[in-house]
Amino acid sequence: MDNNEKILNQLIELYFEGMTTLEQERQLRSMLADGRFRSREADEARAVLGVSAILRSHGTVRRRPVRMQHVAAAAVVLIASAIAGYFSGTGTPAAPQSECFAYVGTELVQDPDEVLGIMQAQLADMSAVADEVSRDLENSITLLKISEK
Amino acid sequence: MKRLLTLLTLTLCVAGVAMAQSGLHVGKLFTLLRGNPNASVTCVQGRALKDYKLSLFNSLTVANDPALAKQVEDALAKDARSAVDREVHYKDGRLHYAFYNLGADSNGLNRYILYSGGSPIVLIYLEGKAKPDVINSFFK
Repeated sequence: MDNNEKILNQLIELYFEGMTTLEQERQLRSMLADGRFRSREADEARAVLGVSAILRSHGTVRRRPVRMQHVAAAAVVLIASAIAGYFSGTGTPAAPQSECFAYVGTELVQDPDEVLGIMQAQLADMSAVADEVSRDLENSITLLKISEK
Repeated sequence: MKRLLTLLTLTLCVAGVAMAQSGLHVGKLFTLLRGNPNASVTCVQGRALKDYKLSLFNSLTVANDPALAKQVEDALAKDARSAVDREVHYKDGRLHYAFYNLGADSNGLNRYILYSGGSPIVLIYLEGKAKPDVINSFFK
């Protein structure tokens, strides 16, 4: 393993531990965009970060009209993203193509009404906690005022 | 160089939604915890959130896994450092409730994190045009 691969693996490890600085994250994205680094860890990181490797071509470069180059570039990005996601091998399920979904443990829920129900229940629970905190604060202020008298 | 810039620009477009949370430590957890037996992850975006003036709702809950709960709390603590406004409450020495306003991102979308440290722990990430007083009105 060469030095650059070691650096990449270290950055990937730091990233998944949530310890990367902004500069390190930029460096990681830049290295992942380079198609030279092909490893399971790099592909997993690409899938999470949504970075597609620029696949280097070998041999003579044939010049195409600019518009075709952009279409080809878009196709490369879309195909590379799909492949990176499919072979990510993390066991982490890819995001369903939907505006709303939920994973309840290992079960995927895609029924919009069910998912919205989960969302609203969570908002309601959070609201209840916020209410409790407000009441505690009011009680504390009241006790403070009483003690000052 | 021009090809590289074109590819990188297109890659950013394909990466799509929730780019605003890509720089957040909690953002990574919404992806990593999908399918984890001790966690639930919810994602809602688009028209369903129109009435809330939001564009993205992401939440995760963790139950029966203290190590995973600690991982969530650590990620939250890192993101909280950049909050422009906050309300936090501790109970028995542990974070019990938190509301963080992370300010607007480069696209002008406001970002908020709410956290409840009960059982299960619940972390909610919100993104959208809604101002802090609108978000607060959901919960007070």
